[in-house]
Amino acid sequence: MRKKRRERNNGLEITEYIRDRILILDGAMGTQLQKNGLKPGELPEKWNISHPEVITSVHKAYFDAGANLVCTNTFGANSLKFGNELEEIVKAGILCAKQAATDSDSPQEKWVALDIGPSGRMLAPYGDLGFEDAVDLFRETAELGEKYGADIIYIETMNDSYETKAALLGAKEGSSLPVFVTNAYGEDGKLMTGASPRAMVAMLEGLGADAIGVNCSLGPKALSPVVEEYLRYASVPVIMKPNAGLPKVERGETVYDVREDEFSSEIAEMIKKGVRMAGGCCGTTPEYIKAVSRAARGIRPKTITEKDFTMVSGYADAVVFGKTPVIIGERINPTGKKAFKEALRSGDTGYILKEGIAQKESGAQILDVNVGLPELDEVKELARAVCDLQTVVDIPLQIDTSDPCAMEAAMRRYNGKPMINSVNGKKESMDRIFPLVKKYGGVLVALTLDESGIPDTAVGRLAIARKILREAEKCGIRKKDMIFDPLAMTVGTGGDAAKVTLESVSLIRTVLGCRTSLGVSNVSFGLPRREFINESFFTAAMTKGLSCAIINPFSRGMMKAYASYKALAGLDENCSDYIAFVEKIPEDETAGTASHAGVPDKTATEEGESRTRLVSAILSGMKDAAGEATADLLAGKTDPMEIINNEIIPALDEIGRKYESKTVYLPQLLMSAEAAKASFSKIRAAMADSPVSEGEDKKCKVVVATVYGDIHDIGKNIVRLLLENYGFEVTDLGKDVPPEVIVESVVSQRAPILGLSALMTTTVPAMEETIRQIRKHAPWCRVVVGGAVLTQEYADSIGADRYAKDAMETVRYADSVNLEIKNNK
Amino acid sequence: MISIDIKTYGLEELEKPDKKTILRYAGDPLGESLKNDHVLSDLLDSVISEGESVIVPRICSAECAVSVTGDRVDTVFGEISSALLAKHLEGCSSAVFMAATIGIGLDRIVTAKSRVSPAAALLADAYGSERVEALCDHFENGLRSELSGKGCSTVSRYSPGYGDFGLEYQKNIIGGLQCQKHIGLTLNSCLMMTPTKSVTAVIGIKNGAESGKRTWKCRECGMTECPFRNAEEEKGKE
Repeated sequence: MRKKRRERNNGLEITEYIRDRILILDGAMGTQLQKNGLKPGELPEKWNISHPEVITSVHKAYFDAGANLVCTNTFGANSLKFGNELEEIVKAGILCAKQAATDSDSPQEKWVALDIGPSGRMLAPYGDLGFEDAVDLFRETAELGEKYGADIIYIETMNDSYETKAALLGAKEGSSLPVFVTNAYGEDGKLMTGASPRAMVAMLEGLGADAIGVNCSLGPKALSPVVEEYLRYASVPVIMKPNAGLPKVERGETVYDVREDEFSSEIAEMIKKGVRMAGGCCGTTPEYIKAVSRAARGIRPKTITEKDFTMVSGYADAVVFGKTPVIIGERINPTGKKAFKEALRSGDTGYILKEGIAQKESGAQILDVNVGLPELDEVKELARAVCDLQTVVDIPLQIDTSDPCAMEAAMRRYNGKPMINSVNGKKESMDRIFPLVKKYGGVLVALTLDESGIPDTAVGRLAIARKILREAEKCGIRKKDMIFDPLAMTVGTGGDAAKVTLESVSLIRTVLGCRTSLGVSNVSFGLPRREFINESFFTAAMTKGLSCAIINPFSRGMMKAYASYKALAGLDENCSDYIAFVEKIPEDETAGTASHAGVPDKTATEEGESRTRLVSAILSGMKDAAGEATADLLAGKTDPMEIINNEIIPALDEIGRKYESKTVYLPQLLMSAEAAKASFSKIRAAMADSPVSEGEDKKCKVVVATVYGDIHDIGKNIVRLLLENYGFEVTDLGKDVPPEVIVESVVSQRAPILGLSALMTTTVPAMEETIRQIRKHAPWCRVVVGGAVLTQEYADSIGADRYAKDAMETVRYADSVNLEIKNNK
Repeated sequence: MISIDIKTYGLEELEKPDKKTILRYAGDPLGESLKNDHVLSDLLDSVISEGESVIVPRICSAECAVSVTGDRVDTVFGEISSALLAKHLEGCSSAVFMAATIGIGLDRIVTAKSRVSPAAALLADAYGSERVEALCDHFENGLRSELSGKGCSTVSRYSPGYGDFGLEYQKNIIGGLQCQKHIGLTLNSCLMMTPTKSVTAVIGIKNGAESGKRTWKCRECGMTECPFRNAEEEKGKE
């Protein structure tokens, strides 16, 4: 098959062709099929088998119009939709396109692309299609494409970055063909799931796409700004395949508002700016392609240049390294953090997520993620941490591990182009890490050490950097994707450790022309008041041209050094960032006093009782004030148990009663619960050294989950919060949880209570199945159910022990079970 | 051949977020908890302003012929077996099939908030419900006034999942309108939509001017125990 294709174009491969020529693509298929009688709801791909002559004639019309590449009629061809029929559909689709290439007398070079569109399902965590399942789905179609002789794979109309990654990975793993990728952008210039054009360029080039660009959604003019972003950042050929403008319904027919001549002249303008492949999407016909082909004739293709941008991306946007140093938050790392280690061991991802959100809010632009603990399965945990973090923060992540398997698992699942920490000059390290970066993409941090250790001199570290760079380039990793860390060493042992590091930063930048990174705080290891040294060293490193720094963004001193440096170095126009930074400081400091001032030490209620500051803060739902009042009580040597029993519990009971009597509602109940939680966490921190005795106040374990297939977890989260406040030990398994996982958790903890939530009738069967399995494997466990669709009757019919209409009722039920357990003891 | 209309709306085109309705969706039936509660009021304001920065309201729709026979409605998207819908569409010769969404951005915010503040997550979720309903109202009102110029009228929108109009039919609407491609809307295997703040519906079209008064949405519904029932509307009954 492959041989025949080469004969067709005098042996010329498409990737060679586009190096110095414009490639003309085809136009719409769907509209042409509707004209030929395709009915609404009918699957167009089936026509490859039932109406091959129609499909072939559409392809031929595009070849006749001057197209070099036509896409097969396989947009929705995946096994989710077609099951066993898939192979026949792909085979027939490719045959139709190849037949058209033979039938057309038009003299240009002709190729056939296997077309791959979106799966029709949303990927987890927002949808229910697992990432690896999606990769498998696309891989299967791609394998068939190569088997039946497609020249390339063309992934198109993707409007979710994560699905695009799954498709590209599947296409690359399933075939050896070149892969082109085009995405569909909205009027806001972003994908439906939020990615910017440069974020897509970063990710797709990293994953090795052979050409990238845009298709569908808008007309050529409206799409031009997006295409220009591609041209600015991309080093591979750029594709443009717009709609014939916007569709309008006129007299019951869809018409598009951009005609052939306007369409082709807009495209010609973009070809002059650098677009290498052009065609049309919805609403375009062979006439449009003929016009594009004619307009492109005679335009000299603009040379494609290698762009020198060092970029990493999250699911939304890219961070482009420039003159201003980039802040990488260091807090997600268990080293020296007792609470984090505890959270990791107990599987509590909430800790990591809160640290992630808080670091971003404090000014981190990238987050380092390290979850290495000897007793944990890092391969599983790192990938999970990365995925979870990407549900709450949009900034890029730095995957930080010394285990190449954990690194690969996390890189694979990452939505975007990550930063990777790290490789070093040892042969073994380079052999393991470079292939991963080549396959998945990423900006790689390289430590200047090798088999003989860390050189004492800047020249020695430069030599290692040079060696690493040379080896990386041999593996196809570009210089712009390498960042060198010349290693900050402690000055505590004397000598010129800091000086050597600073010189190395300077040398790597000036001699190699490469970017640098430092884990700044290592410099003060072993010294008192480390922040003093760290701040000065950070400033010194920035003056040497440091590109990024791994620091604690919660440290006001470090952020002060950063803001000041930018202002002094002329990197902060009108000092506006600096002023914004300074303005935040007094606000932060006065906020505490203000809320304190707002809540007097004692207030009188309408009933004439007096309330303490803490009780008032909890009742008013003031989180910060509750935390401060607790801290003050603790500082005044009030016994922690006294605070809990005399203030927090009575306040929670009062708000709970008010809720039940409908004088306050759910929002206030939750705000009070959060305030109480803030108070509890101060107490817990204070009591860390003297843990609560296994007394009667400790309540039983409760497992909560939203059932399999259900992706709504607002209600379950509310239940969790209230149960925690009432002293229950809660394991939250999250949403969309398979029955087996729930059973395993209940059994392993011998939890006496399980809370299940379901929103819709369609997920109640999963709830029923979970209860059935619980009865079999954990007969001791009481199951309480809730959720919008449930009623007492429904709960009875699926065999639950209890239906709770809201979170408070769940708490009351859990209390009664807890009491029963205690009495039985 | 059906013609699909796709539109993205600017926030300024929709009514401003209605705080009382948001609170009603958050579990306060009269939306009165804002009174004298500046802490809640501040939180709601911040949730709304964050929400407004991420939502992208989009609708795709198509007008198609329908024919009602007994308990069945025949459409180009496939037959619907629903006595209630058949009654609702009585006298309609066509209908607009629509799908509306405010985008995945709000889902991300709700997920992030649920980690740090369930109260904020609850309000953000309620805000999303209020916005997607406001979007549908805007669409429906626009359609009504457009059609009244042509001597036609509409009956209020009706969604799969209400009464005996099965959720399954979401598949037909979402597939038929090519919602994933046009507005980024997908359905999972349990018939839940992503983005979660999305609506699919059918709006019947009749020849002739509007006959009756504007309908009361909650009051007409059979689910008297519904936690989101509009208490104010109930009051207005007297």
